[in-house]
Amino acid sequence: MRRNLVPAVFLVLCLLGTYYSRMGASFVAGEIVTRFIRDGVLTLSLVIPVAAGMGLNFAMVVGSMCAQCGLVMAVDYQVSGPAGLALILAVGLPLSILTGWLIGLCMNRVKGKEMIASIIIGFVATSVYQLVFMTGYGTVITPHNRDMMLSRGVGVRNMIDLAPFRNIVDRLWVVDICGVELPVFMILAVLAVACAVWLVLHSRLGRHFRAVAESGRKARLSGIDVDAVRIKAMILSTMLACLGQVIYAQNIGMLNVYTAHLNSDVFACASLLAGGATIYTAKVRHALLGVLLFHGLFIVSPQAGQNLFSNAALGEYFRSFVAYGAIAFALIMNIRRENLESAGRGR
Amino acid sequence: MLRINDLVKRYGAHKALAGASLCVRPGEIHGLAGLNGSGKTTLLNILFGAIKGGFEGEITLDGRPYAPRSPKEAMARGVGMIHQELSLFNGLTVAENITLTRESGHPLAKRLVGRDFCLERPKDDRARARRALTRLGLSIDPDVPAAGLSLGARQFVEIAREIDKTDLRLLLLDEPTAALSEGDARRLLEVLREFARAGVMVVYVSHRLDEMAALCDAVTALRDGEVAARFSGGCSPEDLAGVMAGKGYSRIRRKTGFASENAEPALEFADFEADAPGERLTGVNLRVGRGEIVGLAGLSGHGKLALAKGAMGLCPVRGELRLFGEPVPAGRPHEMLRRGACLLPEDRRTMGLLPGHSVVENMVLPAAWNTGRFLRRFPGAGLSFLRRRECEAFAEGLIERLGIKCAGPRQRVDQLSGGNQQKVAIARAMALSPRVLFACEPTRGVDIAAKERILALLLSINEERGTSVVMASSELEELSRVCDRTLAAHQGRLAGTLQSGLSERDFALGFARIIEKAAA
Amino acid sequence: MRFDARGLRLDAHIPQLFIIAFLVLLAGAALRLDSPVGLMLGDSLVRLGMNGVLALSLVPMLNVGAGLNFGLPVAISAGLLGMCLAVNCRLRGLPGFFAAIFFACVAGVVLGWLYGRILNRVKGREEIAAAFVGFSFISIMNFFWATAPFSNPAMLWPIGGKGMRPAIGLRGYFAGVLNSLGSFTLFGVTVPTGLLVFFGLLCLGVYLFFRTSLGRAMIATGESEPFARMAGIRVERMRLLGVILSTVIGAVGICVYAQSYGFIELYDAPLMMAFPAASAVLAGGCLGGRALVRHVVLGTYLFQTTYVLSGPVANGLMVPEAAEIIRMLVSNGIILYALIYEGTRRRKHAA
Repeated sequence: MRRNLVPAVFLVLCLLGTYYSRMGASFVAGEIVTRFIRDGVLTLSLVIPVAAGMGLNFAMVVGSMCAQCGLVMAVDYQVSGPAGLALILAVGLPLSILTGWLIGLCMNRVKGKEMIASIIIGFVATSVYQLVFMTGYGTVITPHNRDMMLSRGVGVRNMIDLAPFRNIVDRLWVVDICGVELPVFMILAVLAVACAVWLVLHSRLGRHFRAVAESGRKARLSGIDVDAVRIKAMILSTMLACLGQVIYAQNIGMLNVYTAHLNSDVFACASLLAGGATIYTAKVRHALLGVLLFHGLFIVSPQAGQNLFSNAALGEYFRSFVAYGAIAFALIMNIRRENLESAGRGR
Repeated sequence: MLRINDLVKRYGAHKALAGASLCVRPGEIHGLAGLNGSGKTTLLNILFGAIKGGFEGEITLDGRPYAPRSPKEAMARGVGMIHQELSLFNGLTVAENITLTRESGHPLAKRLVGRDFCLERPKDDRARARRALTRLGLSIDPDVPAAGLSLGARQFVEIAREIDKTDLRLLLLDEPTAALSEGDARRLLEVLREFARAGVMVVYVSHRLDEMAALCDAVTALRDGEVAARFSGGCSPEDLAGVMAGKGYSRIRRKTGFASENAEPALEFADFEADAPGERLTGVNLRVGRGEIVGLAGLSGHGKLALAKGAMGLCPVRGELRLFGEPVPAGRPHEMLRRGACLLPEDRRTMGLLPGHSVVENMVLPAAWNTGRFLRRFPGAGLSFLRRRECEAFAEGLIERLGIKCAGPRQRVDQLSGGNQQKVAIARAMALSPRVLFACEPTRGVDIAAKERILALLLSINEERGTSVVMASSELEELSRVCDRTLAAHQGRLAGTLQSGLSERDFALGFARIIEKAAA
Repeated sequence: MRFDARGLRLDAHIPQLFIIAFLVLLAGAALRLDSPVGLMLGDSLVRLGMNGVLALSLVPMLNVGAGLNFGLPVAISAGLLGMCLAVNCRLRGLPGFFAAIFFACVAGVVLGWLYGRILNRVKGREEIAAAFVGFSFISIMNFFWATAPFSNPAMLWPIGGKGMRPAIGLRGYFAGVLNSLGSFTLFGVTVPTGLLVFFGLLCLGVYLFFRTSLGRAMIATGESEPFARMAGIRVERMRLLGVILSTVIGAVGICVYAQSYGFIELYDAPLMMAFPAASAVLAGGCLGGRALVRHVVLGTYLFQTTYVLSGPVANGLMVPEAAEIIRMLVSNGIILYALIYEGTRRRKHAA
């Protein structure tokens, strides 16, 4: 009962919001499907670090940035279509392995404070990333595509059109049910990633994640290389975030080079928590359910705010309150329970 | 063949091991005897790679040099260990625990996706777990989570984990029978003999001297990090007790008949129960007289430290406690302090001292906060400043009196050695002028000279001011010398009383008898 | 009485060295661009005063062991509320400013008490929880600002007259009252005397407070909770007190900031304000130990001077944004370094 309380609250809010927004059910459903595809993999990328006892990985934005590096490269070399997609992944995934490893090294040095460190890592990485694209392009790196550059010749533009990649894979196998377009291929793709995460959690590595999450000390005594396991968790998470951002960007079709990744961590974390996860346990189904509930609420709340209070801004504020508040609430409740338990256990 | 040559392990200036050597042949069960702090557990942890920071000396295992830096490396050489604090994972099932790091996986999958990403094969794991458990004669369901198992069952699951290892060469056991009933302990010993018959080397640490005398092919007794005696072939529990206690250096002793429990009571416990982190103590009915020194003996985790913490209000309690005839509210350390009770905690680093503060601050702050001593009158209500001269004069006086080696009252306390830190903690207690002092492991981790000085200090506080002292210690010999009477805690209860005036050997034997009777 | 006899440790001073190196680099560039030195020096003093109080507000929480106050938006909201009340009552000049501070303190005590209760529940992980309490409190306050029943039209949207403006001009209320109080110009450097004196008095107050027995009990709580509990100090109460103190000083801090800046900035403006304040204190040398007032003063001055210098330098660069990006990098890099530094120390202690 208690476990399902959070998803239930979100469901009720969603239904109320849908009712007051006076949006058509089919419109809302269509939007939710789109959001599920866009944000599903990003949310899934958080499951593994939680399972490894490292809490919510706000540093997943680094994975998003890796994807954006790939995207910019592909636009720069004007490789379009499936070949472009391959290039994006060929750049993004190795980069995310490297950055994931670095993040893991940091995380091993801040045990117990992983979450706040991951936020700051995200900030630092954002600065580095902005520096590279704002000043590196046109000075150190020679651009091949003048269209994406700012007029002064140095720095990439804020907005890049991703027309060559827009909906390459989105439009595969679209089925229309009662006015709702279902891109079956993409839904299957997200579910396939979900499946992969599930498999990892049930592999040998997954068992080690659980062991490390329960007690690093015991895990070390059991012959597990705790630091290595935690680094692997961060690498996997960063890679999934990279993949997620590729899907996100090609679905939207535009890339806001400097800011597209900025809130992906907060939304993904809030989604995961909305699905019933805590900062100590997360399952694949929490991520999948959470994306539907959280983004459902996200779609309807501005319009509902407009209709209820004749002020759309209130709906906006409500949205950000839901995102931040869900995380704050989960942190407070989870940490408190952990503290009480550890006091009771006497350690 | 395991050979250890001149093993030294330092913690700062303190030597936990000071040149220990021993040799274990295949198929031999080798006992390690010694008091707490004699270096047994340190030795085992070095052999298992569980200690960071390296060591000096030479170890060879099966003819090759052996210096594990992590348990993982130790396991790769066929070394297994069963810990005093159990290391099972509550969130994993019995089968998962038994096969952890040696999981079954499909050979083809291993090739294709690497060992890490191999899916678990619960069926195989379960079969292996069941095979191992059957050899122990146990019928535990391998699919239940380890969280629900009894202490004894958990111990056997750990043994099953070692049985499941095909390449086990050396098995280390740290107090494996401490939590077991008599019957379970006997079965465990039988299993160890089987391991030995299969050619595994077994190193066995226990406080149960009878058990050790009966089981082991050879016994090495450690004292203060050095080998005190070796017995190959038979040895009796009495021999071991005698060697462990040791003799030789000048030692403080309580004047007998100084105080008695029939004096006016300082502390009265009635059906008292304390639930301290890691240990509980229940059913305490005890009167501590004014000026009396009461000892609490017992193995770690059996409740001897819980009494002081409970009485001071630092952990949840039940039952009644009276201090000088008046009942005290539970969970209010400041009330106890204001009424003249004071605690010398066992964990100096996190609890007994403020490591980032100076010697003088450590001495005066609790007294200033609780009694207003050392504070200026103005403006009062917690906002007063310290009277600096008075603080420093007080600190300098105690530094001289207690023989604290430091650069001066302003030196940071974490730069002092363990013994001097403990003296600072005692000075802190003296600043409060306590009428009742709870001392937990007052001599843990300090060298012999400092230990004698600390014991002498406790006696002088007691004799000068008539302070009642409740002293919990793992070191039987110091309790036998200092206390008017000593209570033995076993499995969360006070199991018996040892009177003062016994020789140290009789005292140790008496203690062993009490806990054996309690276990039966 | 100062007992701290710790020797110099290089790795504890890397953030300082780093920010000084950055500063030297900026200063060199600024000099080559012929920037007005006197103006910039005066500007850096103003910035020290206006941001110093916010950085100072982190000290009580750091000392009581509740970590870096990433929930500074809570304190800032209390201050904004106080100022809005004062402006709504049309209080002007110094009395208006002190009325704003009075209201801010009252709001700070109430919010600080609530916030402290929350932080007592998340012991050991205060920083992450505080960050998100702060973020979500901003969105709660956004609701409030959008619907607040204030009546002074200077604060409301000009059209419709409902809801607060995102930036409320303080000209005619108390803009610059402290800055101009007794200010004088010496060698082309304008010294904001009132502002610096006010900041100095607050620093002195905090310094003295932490030498009283109450302040010492708070420091003891921060250094070792088990010790504090054993020494009869009521840990939860000390922590609550520390958080309230931090919140009140933070509320005063935003008032000082706003009077100097000339605007009250509402809505999402305070969202990220905690991070520069945190890195200022860390850059001052507060690493793995108790926070001292001199850390605040030194750190804020160094940190704010990079702001002052990066303006003119940016205009001389081909990519003006680069200066700001590098500043952010330095700022957050310092916080990350501090986290890693303390984590490594904990690891060593555990081994």
